[in-house]
Amino acid sequence: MRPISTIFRRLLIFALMATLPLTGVIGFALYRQFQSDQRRVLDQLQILAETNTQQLAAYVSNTRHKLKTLAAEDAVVDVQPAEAEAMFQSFISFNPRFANIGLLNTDGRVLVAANQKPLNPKTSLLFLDRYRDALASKDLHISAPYVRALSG
Amino acid sequence: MTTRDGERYALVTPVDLPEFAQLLTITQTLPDSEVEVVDANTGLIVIRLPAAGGPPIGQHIGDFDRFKAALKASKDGTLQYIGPDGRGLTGKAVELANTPWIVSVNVPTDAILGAAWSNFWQALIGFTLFLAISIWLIWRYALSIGRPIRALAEAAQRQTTVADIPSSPAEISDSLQAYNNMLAARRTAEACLKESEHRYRTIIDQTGQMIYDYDVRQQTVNWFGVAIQQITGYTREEYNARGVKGWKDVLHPDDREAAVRRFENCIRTGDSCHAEYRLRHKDGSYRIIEEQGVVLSDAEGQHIRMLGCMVDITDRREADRTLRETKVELQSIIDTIDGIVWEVDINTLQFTFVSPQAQRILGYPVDQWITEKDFWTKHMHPADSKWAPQFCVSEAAKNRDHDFEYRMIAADGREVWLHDIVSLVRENGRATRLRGVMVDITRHKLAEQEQARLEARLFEAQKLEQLGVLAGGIAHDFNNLLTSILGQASLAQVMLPADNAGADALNQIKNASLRAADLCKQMLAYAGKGRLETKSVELNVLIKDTVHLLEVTISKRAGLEFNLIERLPTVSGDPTQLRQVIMNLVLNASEATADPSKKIVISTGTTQATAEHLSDYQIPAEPGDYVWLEVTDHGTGMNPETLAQIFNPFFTTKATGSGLGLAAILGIVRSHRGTIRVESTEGKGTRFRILLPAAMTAAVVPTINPSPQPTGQSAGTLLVVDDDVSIRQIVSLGLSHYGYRVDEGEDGLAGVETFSRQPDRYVATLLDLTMPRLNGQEALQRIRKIRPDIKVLLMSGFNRQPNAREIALNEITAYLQKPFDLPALVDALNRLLSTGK
Repeated sequence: MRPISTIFRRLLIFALMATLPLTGVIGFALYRQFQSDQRRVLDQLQILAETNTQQLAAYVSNTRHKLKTLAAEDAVVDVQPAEAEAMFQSFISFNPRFANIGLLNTDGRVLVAANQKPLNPKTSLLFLDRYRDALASKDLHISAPYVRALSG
Repeated sequence: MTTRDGERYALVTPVDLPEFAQLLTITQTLPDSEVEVVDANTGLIVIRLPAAGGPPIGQHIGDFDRFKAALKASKDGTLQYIGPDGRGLTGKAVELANTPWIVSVNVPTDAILGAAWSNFWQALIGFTLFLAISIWLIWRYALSIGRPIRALAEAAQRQTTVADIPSSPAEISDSLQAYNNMLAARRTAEACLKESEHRYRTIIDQTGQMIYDYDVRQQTVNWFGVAIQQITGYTREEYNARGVKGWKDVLHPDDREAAVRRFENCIRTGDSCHAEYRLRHKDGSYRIIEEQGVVLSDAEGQHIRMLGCMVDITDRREADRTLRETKVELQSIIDTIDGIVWEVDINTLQFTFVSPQAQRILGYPVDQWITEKDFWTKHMHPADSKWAPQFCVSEAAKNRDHDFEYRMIAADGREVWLHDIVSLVRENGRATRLRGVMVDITRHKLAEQEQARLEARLFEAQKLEQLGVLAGGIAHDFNNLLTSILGQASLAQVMLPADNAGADALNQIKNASLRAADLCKQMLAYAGKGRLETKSVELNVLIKDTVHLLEVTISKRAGLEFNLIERLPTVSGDPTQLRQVIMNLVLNASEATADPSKKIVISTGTTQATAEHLSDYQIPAEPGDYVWLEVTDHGTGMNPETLAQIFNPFFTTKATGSGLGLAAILGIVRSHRGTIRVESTEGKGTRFRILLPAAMTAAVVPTINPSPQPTGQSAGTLLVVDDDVSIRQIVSLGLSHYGYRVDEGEDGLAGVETFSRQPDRYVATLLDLTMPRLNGQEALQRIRKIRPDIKVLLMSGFNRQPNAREIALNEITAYLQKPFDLPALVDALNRLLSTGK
C-alpha cells in the first residue's frame, strides 16, 4: 500500500497541474484585454483627429474662397479706402470669427483696415515675418500664431 | 492680390482663436484627451483644447524634434512623444492639406496604460486569490480523504471493520461502507466457496471421474475422489493403503509396463500425462481406464505434485465398438440396397451424400455427384429437368415426404428411369435436408412399355377378330346374294343375243357385283379370314407377272425399276393374296408419284431378322430367315399423322378409295406370318418393306385360266345341293346352259337321299357347306360312303369356313368360294372333272 504522504503529494501535484493551465489561459486573456483597451483608445483618437482635421480643412477652404471673393471686389481692386473699409466691416459682421481685416501694399504699409485705427502711413509691417510671407505668397498664406497681435 | 494698376497688395486678417476653437471637437469618452493644431514648421501650437487658463496659443509643442520624428516614423499616424509639460503623450496626428498645420489628438500615455494595467492587476490578484483558495480546499479535501483511507488501510491489514471515522465526502463514507460490505461479502463468499467446493466434489464424484492428488516426493496419494470405489471396487482407505504399488498390481499385465513408464516419464519431465490402460476391478473384471494428469512444480521448478483424473471408459469403448459395428452394418445395408441412397441440402439441392451404388447405376463417380454444382438437374433427362426439381422443391416447401419418377441420363448416354422416394430431414423442427433413395426402375418401365405395346397388339387382334366375325357373318349372306346376282346376270348374258341393248346393263351389274365381292374379300383379308391356299411361291416371278398387268396404268404416272435378286428363296403363301399385296402397293406408289420421270423401285432380297430388327415392324414376328419385298416411290410421302393411320380400315386419303387396301395388305401379311414396315417423309417419298418367311420348296406360279365357253354337248348329270333356292336355280340354269343336266337337293339330307337313289347317275355333286338339317361336311361324308369316288365341288359364302379347312381337298374334292359367276363355276367344275381321267 502506498504511504499516505505520497497520496497527499500526488493530490497536490494534481491540483497544481490542474490550475497551471488555467492560470496560463487567464493570463493570456488578461494580456489580450490589455491590448484591446489600447487599441480601442487609439481608434478613438484616430476618429477624433480625422474629425477635427475635416473641420479645419473646411474652415481653411471657406476662408480662402471668401478672401478671393473679397479681393475681386471693385473697391478693393481700385483701392478705394472708404468703400473698402465699409466692405471689410460688412465682411466681418457676417464672419465674426475674423477679428479684423486689412489691405497692405508691398511696402508693408496698411492702406485700409476695418475696426482699427489707421497706423502711421509710414509704418511698415515688413519687419514681421508673417507679413512678409503673406505679401510674398500668391495665395492664402497662414502664418504662425501670434498672441495679441495681428495675425493673417 | 493685384489691383488694376498692377500694384500688388495683400489682404490680411487675424483669426479670433477662441472662436476658432469652436471648430474643434473633443470627446468625453476619452478622459484627459487633448486636441492640438500644431504649426509643422515651427512646432508652435496654433490651438489646444482643452487648456486650463485659456488656450495656449503660440506655445511651443515641447520636444518638437521627437514629435516630428514620431510623425515621420508612424505609419498609421500614431504618435508617442513628450508634451510641453514633460508628460508622455500618445496620440494620432493628421496633416491638414495645403496648410502648415498638423492636427494632433492625444492622451497621456499613462491614461491608456493605467486603465489597462489596473484591469490586469485586478484580474491577476483575483485569480491568485482563487488559486490559493482552491489549493487550500484541495488540501482540506485530501486530508478528509487520507484520514479514512489510512484507517481503511489499517483495518484492511487487521481485517477488521472500519470504525466510525468522520469523513465528510460522501464517496469516502460510501467507500468505507463498501469496504465493510466487501468484508462481509468476502466472508459470505468464503462460505459459498466452501459450499461450492463441496458441491463440486460431490458433482465430480457423481460423474464417475476419480480425481487424485499425488505427492511426487512422498510417493503417496494425498487425496482421492470417492469414485475410486466405483472404478476399482476398493474403498478410498483400501486403495490408499495399497499405495502406488497397489495401482501397479491391478494393472493389466499387457498394459503395466507401458502405463508405469508413461507415468514415471511425466513425473520426470513435468509433461502432462495421458494414458489408457486396463485396470483389474476388485471383482476380477478388467475395466478400461483413461487417465490424465498434470505435474505441478514449486517456485524452484521442482516437481512436487501431480493432479490427475481417472475415468472408467469401458462403457464408452463398448459404445464406440457398437457404433462402429452399426456403421458398418448400415454401410453394408446402403451398399446392398439396389438404389442410390442420397442426401441433399434443401436450399441448393446439392448432394452431400451419395451411396456407392450411384456409380454402378448411372456411371458417374460419387465425387462428381457431390462436387459438381447442380449435378442432379444437369444430368436429368431434358423432358424431366424442369418439372421434377420443381415438384420436389414444392413438396418440400409443403413439408411433405414424397416420391416421383423421372429419367436421368447415365454417363454412357443411357436413359435411366428412377423412382425417387424423398423424406425431409428436420432439425429443430425445420426441414434442412432431403434424404432419399433412387431406385432404378428402367426395367420395370421398359416392361410397362412392352406390356402397353402388347396390350395395343391384343386390342388390335381383338379388333380384327371382331371385325373378322362381322365380316365373316356378312360374307355368307352377302356372297350368296352376290352369287345369285352374278349368276342371274351371267345367265342373262348367255341367253340374250350379243347385240341386245340390255347386254351392257348386265355387264355393269356383273362389274358392280364383282367390285362388291372384291370389297368383301378385302375386308376378310384384313381380318385374316381370307381363304389361304398356301403354295410355294417364287416372289420375283409373281412380281413381274403382276406388274406386267399394271404396266399400262402405271406408266402414265411413274417409271418402274426392278431390283430383284437372283435365286430368291420361295415363300409359302397364297399367290392370289400375295398378288393383291403387290398390286395394292404398286398402285398406291404410282398414285403418290404422279410423275413419269420418277421411278417406283421394286426390290426383293433376303434377311436374317433378329428380334431387335423386327421391333421396328408393324406385326410381331418370330426371328428367322425372311424374304423381303420392298416398294419405294419418290412421291408426295406422308406426314406422321397420316402414317400412323394408314393401316386402319376405312382410312383413306383418296377421294374414291375404300380405305381397305393397306388394311387388307396388313391382314394378308399377318396371315402369311410375315410383317411389314413403312417409312415415309413428306415430300420425299415412301418405302414399304414386307417380310415373308422364306421356304425352300419348289415354286408354283398360278396361272389365270381363260373363261370356259359353252360346248352345246351333254356333259353329264350333276347334283346341286344348296338351301338357297336362288343359288340352286342359278346354278342349275347356268350349268344346263353348258350341257349339264342338274338335279337339286334343298338341303344336306335331301341331297344325300337324292344321291342315294341313283349314285351312279351323277358325274359330280355340288355341295353348299352351310345348310340346315345336314351340313355340307356331313352330307359329303354320307355321299362318300355311298360312292367314294364321286367328285364333289364344295361351295361356301364363308371365306374361312372351318369345315372347309378341315376337309382335305384333293383330286376328287374341290372348293369354290362364293360369290362366283357362271364362268368361274364352269371353270372350277371342268378342272374337277378333268382330274383323274
